[in-house]
Amino acid sequence: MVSRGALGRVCGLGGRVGFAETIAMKTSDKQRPANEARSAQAFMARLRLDHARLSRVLREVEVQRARLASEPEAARAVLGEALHYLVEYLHGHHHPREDLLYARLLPLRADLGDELRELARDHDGDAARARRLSHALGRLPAGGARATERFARALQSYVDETREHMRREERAIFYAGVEPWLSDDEWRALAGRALPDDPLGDVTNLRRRYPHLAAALAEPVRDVSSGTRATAAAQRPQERSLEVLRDGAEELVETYGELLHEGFDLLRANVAMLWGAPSPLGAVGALPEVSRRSYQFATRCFALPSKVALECASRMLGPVASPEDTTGPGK
Amino acid sequence: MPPAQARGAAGDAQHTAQRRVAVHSATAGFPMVFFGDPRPSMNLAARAFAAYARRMAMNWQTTTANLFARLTIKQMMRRDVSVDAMRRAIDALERLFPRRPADCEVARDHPLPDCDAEWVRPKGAPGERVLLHFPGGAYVVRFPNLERALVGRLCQAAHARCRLVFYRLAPEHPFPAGHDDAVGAYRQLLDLGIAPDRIFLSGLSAGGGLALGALLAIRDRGWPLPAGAVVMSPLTDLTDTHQDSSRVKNARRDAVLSLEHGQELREMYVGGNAELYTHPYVSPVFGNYHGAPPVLFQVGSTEVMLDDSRHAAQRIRATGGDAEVEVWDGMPHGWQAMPFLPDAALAIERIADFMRMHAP
Repeated sequence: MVSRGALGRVCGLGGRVGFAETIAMKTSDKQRPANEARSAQAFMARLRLDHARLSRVLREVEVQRARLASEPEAARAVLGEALHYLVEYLHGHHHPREDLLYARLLPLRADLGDELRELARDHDGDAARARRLSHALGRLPAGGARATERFARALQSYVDETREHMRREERAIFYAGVEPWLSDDEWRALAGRALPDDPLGDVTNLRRRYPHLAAALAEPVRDVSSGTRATAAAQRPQERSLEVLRDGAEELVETYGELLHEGFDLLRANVAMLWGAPSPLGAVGALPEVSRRSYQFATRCFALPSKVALECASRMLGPVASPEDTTGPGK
Repeated sequence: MPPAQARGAAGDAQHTAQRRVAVHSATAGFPMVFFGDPRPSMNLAARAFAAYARRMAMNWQTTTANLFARLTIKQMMRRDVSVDAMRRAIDALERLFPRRPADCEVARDHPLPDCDAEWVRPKGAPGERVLLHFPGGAYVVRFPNLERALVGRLCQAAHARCRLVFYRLAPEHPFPAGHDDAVGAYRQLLDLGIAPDRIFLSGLSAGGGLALGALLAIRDRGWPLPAGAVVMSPLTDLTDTHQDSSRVKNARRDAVLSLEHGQELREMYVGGNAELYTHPYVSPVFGNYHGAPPVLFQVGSTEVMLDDSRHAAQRIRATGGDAEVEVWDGMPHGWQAMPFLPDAALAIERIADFMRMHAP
């Protein structure tokens, strides 16, 4: 949950405030020598590092979003901390630094004006969205399926748009060789603004401030899927029936696939036999064999799928009734 | 929360849990939960059928892809067809895909001595990182157009340019030909002055195994290491499989791969030399990854090669490396290359995030 203090700080550092600062620019956009760019590199390296860490959090948000329905409490704990981190650090410290940079670049690069203004606007909108999501997570009713689904969609949309925003920033600024555009003094002035330690930069700090997020980030295997849930769900009769049904349907499709290819082979063989007959009388003579093969195939077409369907039905009516039995069909 | 209230909430949650059926969100590609009408009048089979139908409908793109693959590619793999026949069939299938990915340019500069290689560069985007990609195809076939489209989208998502290496294929060129091509392609990138910490090795299926084998060889030769590796459903183990492995358990559920002719294919790759099956460059699951960069595995939960990823990642971690496995629910083999699947776009975004994490 986001504290009022944190929200206040975020509001106080809204992107537009920093962006609106007009600072007299001392440099032209003529390229500067590389040795003047140490501060620039440090400043830009930090912004890049922030994006790297944000990517890590966004990936985790996505995974937890998928768990919201199956393991709501665990997912909420992680998501709460992740959103707090995003509100506090991404929107509270990272974006204001970017806004200051964009404000300095704006008079120098008219060609980037629209892009820079739009990026700064995104910062404002995304901060508000993250705060809304954080509040919504706290208010999410336990077991409220539709509300959970709506929330999950909103969360995914936020993740998608944050990614796209990062990508646009990287294309326009981060990887555009921005370092020579400002003087060393200007870069130093930008970097001079105190930046708190990013909790993601230090495992101990991360574990202390965001224990659930730290634990989730350390997981080596991620079910970007329902793997864990499927195991638990398989204990429920309806879920297990669903598993059996799905297996049966897949087997049936495979059987039909096999028959389809067999049918093509048979057709080719029959045509070859009739076409290869030395005379029309020979072709007539081959008809009994063609008929026999075709009849056999038709029998298989009826018998094989029926057999699969019956097996599937018998599995469904079989041991699915016992919820204690975790080694149900299809497992 | 008071105990009674907690019990009530838990009871509600349990009751709700009994009513819900997992489905896949078609819009975002992630599993969601649909809380259907319990309809107690319906019997178990009918409810399961309704849930199944809903699930299929919700994620119709994956259902369709699985159905198509089951009826075509898997059947072809199950049948006794020659490598030439497989290549012809794949050529026909490949005509469905454009030769050049959208918004990308393909160039053949910097040729390699023994195999074809291309640069795939997104138009107007910074090629900040370099993806050294090895296509899949059981080391005997390949899908060039499909792979170009895949790396094109990967490059756009990750601000990267890709070196796509069409390494030599078995049975004409058994191991170590393809492996040498992969390692040589990396050496060429270093010689071109590309910083190793901007390079990622990647591969799909057999190409994933080749990427891991190349990673081990690069480390063994003492060359500067790449920033990381991204492997999609990699083939990491060419040895005999145990009965409880995913190759057996998922044999029916895998929509794309059938390993009925797996023995012949692996013999082709090693040129009949069975001793090579446990060589770490052939089966990277036996490698020692001490000092290796981080590796991301993406694999579908119903794939026969699920355990290849799990076991290789375990091995990497056990030998001091860093590996992360993403198990994707019900995704077919190579889904990242199927642009019409919502999960493909998500998987690519997550790969781009991984690349950004390790090469900011």
